[in-house]
Amino acid sequence: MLHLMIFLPLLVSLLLTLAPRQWREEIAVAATLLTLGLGVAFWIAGGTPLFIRDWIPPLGVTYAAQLSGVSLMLALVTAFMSFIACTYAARRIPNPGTMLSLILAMETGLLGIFAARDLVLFYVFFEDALLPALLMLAIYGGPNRMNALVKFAAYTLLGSLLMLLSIIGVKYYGGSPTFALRDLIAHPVTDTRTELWLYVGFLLAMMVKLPLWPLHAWLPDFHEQNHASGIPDVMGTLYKVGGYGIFTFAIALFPQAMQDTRPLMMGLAAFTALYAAWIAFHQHHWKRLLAYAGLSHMGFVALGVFSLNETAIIGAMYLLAFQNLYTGALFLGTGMLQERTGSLDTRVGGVMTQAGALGGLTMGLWFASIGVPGMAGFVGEFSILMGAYQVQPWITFVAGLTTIAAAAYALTAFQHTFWQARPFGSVLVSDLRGGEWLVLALPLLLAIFFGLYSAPALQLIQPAVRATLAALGGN
Amino acid sequence: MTGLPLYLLPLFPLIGFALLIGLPRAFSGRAAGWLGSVMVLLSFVVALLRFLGLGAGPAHELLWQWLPNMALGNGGHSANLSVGFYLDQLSGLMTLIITGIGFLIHVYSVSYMSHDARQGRFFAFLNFFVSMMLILVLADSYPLMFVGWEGVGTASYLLIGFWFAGRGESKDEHTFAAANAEGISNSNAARKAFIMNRVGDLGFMLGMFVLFKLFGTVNIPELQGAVGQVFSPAANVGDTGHFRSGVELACLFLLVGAIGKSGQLPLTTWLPDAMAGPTPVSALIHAATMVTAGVYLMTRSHFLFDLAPHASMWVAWVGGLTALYGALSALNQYDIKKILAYSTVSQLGYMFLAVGLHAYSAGVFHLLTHAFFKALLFLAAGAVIHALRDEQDVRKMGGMKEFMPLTRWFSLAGVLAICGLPIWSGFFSKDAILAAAYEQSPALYIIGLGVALLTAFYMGRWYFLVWEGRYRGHMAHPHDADPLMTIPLGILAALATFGGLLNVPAFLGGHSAFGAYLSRAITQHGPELPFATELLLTLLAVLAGVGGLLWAYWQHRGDHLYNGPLGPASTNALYLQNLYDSVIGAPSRAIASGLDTVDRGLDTALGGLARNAAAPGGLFTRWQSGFVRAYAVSMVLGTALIIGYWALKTVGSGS
Repeated sequence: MLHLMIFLPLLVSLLLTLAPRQWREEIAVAATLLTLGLGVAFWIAGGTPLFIRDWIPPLGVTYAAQLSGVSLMLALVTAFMSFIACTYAARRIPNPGTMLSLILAMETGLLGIFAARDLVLFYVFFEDALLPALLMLAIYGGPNRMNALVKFAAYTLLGSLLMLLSIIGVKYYGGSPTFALRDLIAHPVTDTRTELWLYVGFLLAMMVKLPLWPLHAWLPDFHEQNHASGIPDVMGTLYKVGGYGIFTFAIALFPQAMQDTRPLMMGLAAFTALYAAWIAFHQHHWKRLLAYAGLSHMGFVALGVFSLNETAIIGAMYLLAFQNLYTGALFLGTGMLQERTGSLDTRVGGVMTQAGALGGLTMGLWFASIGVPGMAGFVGEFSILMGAYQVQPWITFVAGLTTIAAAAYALTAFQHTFWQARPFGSVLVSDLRGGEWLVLALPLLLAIFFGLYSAPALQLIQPAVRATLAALGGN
Repeated sequence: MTGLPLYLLPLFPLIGFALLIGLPRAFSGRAAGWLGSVMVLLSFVVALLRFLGLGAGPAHELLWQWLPNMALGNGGHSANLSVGFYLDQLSGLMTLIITGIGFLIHVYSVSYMSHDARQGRFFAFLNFFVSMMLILVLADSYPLMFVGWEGVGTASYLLIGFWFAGRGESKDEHTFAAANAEGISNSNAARKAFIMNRVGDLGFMLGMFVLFKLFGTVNIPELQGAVGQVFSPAANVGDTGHFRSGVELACLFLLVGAIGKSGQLPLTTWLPDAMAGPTPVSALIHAATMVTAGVYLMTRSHFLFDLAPHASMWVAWVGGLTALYGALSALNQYDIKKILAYSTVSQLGYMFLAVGLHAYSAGVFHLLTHAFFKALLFLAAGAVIHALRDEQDVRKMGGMKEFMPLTRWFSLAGVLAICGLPIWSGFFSKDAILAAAYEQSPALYIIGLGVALLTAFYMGRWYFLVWEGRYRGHMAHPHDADPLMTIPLGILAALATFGGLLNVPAFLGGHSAFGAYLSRAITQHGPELPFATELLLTLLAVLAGVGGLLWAYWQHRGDHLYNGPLGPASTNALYLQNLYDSVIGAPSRAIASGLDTVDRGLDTALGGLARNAAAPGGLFTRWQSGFVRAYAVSMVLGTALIIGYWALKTVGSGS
């Protein structure tokens, strides 16, 4: 069943090329729903057991996969947002077959990343998800897409190359028989200097994928140049798996190195959060602004993960999972705005006087994004800051300033687009219709639900974080 | 009737909000207003029943688990923090103020907003506000209080920006320009309120972090227990100095939070701007309830402030100086609501002063009476604005007593109450604060007394400019509002007049009933001054009030009341906003622009570097075609080197 969940989207993605044209939308949406249903079934069952088989025995590569705890949480959110993305793609993109295929192919890659319990397998899925992302940008991107494409590919590929070296190093120096995570943990690298260098290699790949300053430069261009509907951006947001990679692999494999570099990395994370929020304040392009807002969130996630504090890591995983809901939905809302006004500029003005529901839902999503309490983002952010403060008060204070900057950039851009008067003689903006309601309202409702009633998500995240940290031996 | 669960209190208005937002067509026109009012009335009934059924001990009801690891557990791990509601004398009183005055203002708004096209949304936001405010006061933990805290901030944002596109319709370019200018100004006011509140909210959060670090919980009853254990004489903690300085720090952080929400110095400039919202909003949110949340927060945390003498002194001085700042700024305002807004800033300063001097019951009592008379004054101002078709300039008013006799008498009651004339409510509450100040700090007492004089003057100016003299505007027949508006005014006038009798002090033959009641939740020692001193203080306070009114009357007779003292310095609120714009606003925008250039330039610079490195050497010419790869390689490797170096350095210095 686990493998069905991972590979079903890829299978359907290939089938779509054969399917009759008029049924493609329905098939794709049904496939994402089925995947989501499987995920929910695992959730109810409390996660899947570890599945492990030899894959390439001479190299010690195994096929080890498991969805439980944090990985199940992220897989569920991925499945849900893929469903939302397919629903909107079916509505927005003319002849959407290719786009739907790419979404589904990418979903498999992402689910694989979360399920992988073997580092080479992780690497394979990591690269696998990259391909559809590149194709989406190449096929549907804006006029400057080549520049963005090369940058995105170069950063990711070179990052993952270093990761591969580091993975091989861990196995070689630790003397583990396979690349399966549990074997690698059983055969740790003992020399601290070697451990540090291997960690740096792994870390660089994850810093590209978090992303974290200064390896974030691909992100704004990637989002700015992607299709105006915002659909590839939803998948791109889900692809920010750096925080997850560090939590699942780095804490277990490089405990000493993480301890030693803790203040440095927390400082870098806090700086990223504030730096990105400050730059976002100056953006007039909605997608660029959202890119920096997302980068700022990732600064928080990194702050939590690198702090190695239990509460903060729980918060980081909570934020990492749920920011997909509202950041993704905000990208789609931007797409709806662009469809109506023909512009992605933040200074169109007065849209809410004519499209009340679009404005209201966007506002709700923004409140979720800037961590207003009672929404899911707050549970994550607050726990991160609370936990990180116990470790590094001053660095946390710097990160805390981000909450002020976030209000400034979000409300300024929102006001210039949706509030104030609609310019005299500008096109009439129609309000949300049919499926568009669902695309924005469902993520918002979930964000509110998990902001108030966090127990279902905490039950997945908390034990997993405790188990990982217990292996670390306290701090 | 203690059977009704506490969660019903915030739930009713929340249902109202959901219905009004979700089904706008089902509740159009006045139906929206009535639905909203009924929901608040239901909450009021629950609040009243729970208040009457309140026994000696507090009621504490837990709902479900919420935040990870933030409460005391038994064993190695902390427990998860639950969502819970906590009702004692203090929160019980607050729920009555919020739902009682909230209900009156809802009913008033049914008539006031009846001409607005988007009534449904107005009442939805108003219901949302009441719900969040109830969560704020009923919360049993700081994070849950923070939900209400930012929730009311959000509601305030939505309501200040209610007319975000201006009120007029844009039929041609001229009306469009006017509407757009109003829309921009309203939107800016809303955004400013939210952002300045966020500054305070960061302080509140840091306060929670410090408390958690010290005591391992952010649940208030647990915290109170833990603090009591650490500081009890029997405890064997040894060195409490670390705890003492920690509590001082936490209290200072909480003060920053309270400053933001209550519009105290230096985060005060958003509150006068918040008058851009509809007048009932100003009455409910920006006078009677939300802005007093800071006072509530510190009173709720009294067990911490009692242990933090330095932080408490800061609170008192912030309050005293803000009271003075607000009063000076109110002297020469021309907007009927702005005078009241600066007055609110000043009166909140009084409450902070009281709380900082640990005179909690005096502070909360002033909160109560202020809620009565300031809501009354705002609603009366609203009635005038309504009658004059959105005219807010007091220079275009005057002689309104001819047209609106009923509202005039109600306003007079409010003015006498805020000036602290005997038997009106402000007399008793202000007196208690001044007595506490006299006992502990002569300087603060003199400031407090001076502010009382200024208060009486600017309120006298407000009264004479609006109600007395001759009418200076152009409206044909302004008249009293309909009963939906005048009945709430009458009830508030009665409360503003007689509310003070709840707490007649001993030296005037009373029993300080209110203080005794509140002391069941908040232990404190009242001032113990000799009889003659108390009488003298009272006499001085009344003289200040009468003197200020006479001063205003004298100026009114001389017909130069237009131009109050201090001239443009007062009109511009001592230029504080201009200072912020140039010291904070402009530089942060410039930094944002600079960082943006750097972030984009990082690309170009590194790309150029790669190009130049490749150009001269024939060795690299083969790389020319794919120079982006080269640039990416050099960038990643360079970063690897830098980070590796840092990492090694950290390790090297660490071991």
